[in-house]
Amino acid sequence: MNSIWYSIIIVGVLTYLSRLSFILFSEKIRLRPFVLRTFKYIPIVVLAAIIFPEVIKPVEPYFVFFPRLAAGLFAIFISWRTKNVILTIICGMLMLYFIQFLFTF
Amino acid sequence: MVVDGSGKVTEFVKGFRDEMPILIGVFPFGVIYAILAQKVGLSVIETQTMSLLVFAGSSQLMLIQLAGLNSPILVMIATGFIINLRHILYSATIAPYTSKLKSHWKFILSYLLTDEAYAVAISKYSNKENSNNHWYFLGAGIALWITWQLSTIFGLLVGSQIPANWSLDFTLPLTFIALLIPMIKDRPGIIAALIAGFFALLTVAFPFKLGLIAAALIGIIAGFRSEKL
Repeated sequence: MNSIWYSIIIVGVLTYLSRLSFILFSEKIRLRPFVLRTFKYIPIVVLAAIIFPEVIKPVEPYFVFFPRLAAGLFAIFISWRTKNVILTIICGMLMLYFIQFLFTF
Repeated sequence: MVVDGSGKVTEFVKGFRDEMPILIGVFPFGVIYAILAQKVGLSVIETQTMSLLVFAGSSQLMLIQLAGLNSPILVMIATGFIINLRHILYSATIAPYTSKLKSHWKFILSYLLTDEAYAVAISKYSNKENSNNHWYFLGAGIALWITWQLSTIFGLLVGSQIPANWSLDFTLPLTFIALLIPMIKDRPGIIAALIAGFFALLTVAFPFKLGLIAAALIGIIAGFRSEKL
């Protein structure tokens, strides 16, 4: 057993316990309204915090212009207008390829 | 397939179907995970076992990144766990809807409580009262589980044959965008997202992805504050 095996097993168990926590023990854990209000924001802020750096970081060799930023903004627009997941991903990727194509020369 | 009177199969199929659009973004993510895992020297069995046991894309990618850097085991465990802390919050938001289920359902649904299954299941739970909503959740969760395991296997098979210049990793933030935008329904939501995103940029160099947690907390506070504006 090397360290990667220990990590896989321990992180796996801890992750499962996190998922199980409230679902199994909800009767024993009481939540205050303040905490419940917080939950409304959790997925929004976590997703935003993951998206921003992914979309804004420059990726070699495109230091001058950020194709990912443009593609990300385009995807935000498509998602806002259509709320369609597939369409958002396809449009975002096509925009990325288009801009990378333009700036490769 | 026979549809039973109480609608269990119907709900299961609906959940499975509603999960499908998200899977387009998940599949390449799983493939990328498996390719990168092999690159840092994980065996086939280690790579697949992680997909089965951890079953959470972002922390799996984080773990192999740290494994590649020969990080100490405690750092790997702590990082993997911190990134997965959000599942406690998912568990808490789902719990009121699953409180009447038998224990074996709770154990199974908890295993399937991923970002993507949560997003689909919670919108169903909060929109429609139905005694078979747990079958819907199960359908969505199993659709994602199959996709995640298959994409890992696929990544192990194709290995490095996919050209890096396809930028398939970008489907991940695009998937998150497609999940996030429909969730934002009012001004506090917009403000919380913008502030969290902005602080995530500022704190991107923080070790162990702690910046993500800090940015999320600041975003929540900003959302609360702007409710009173």
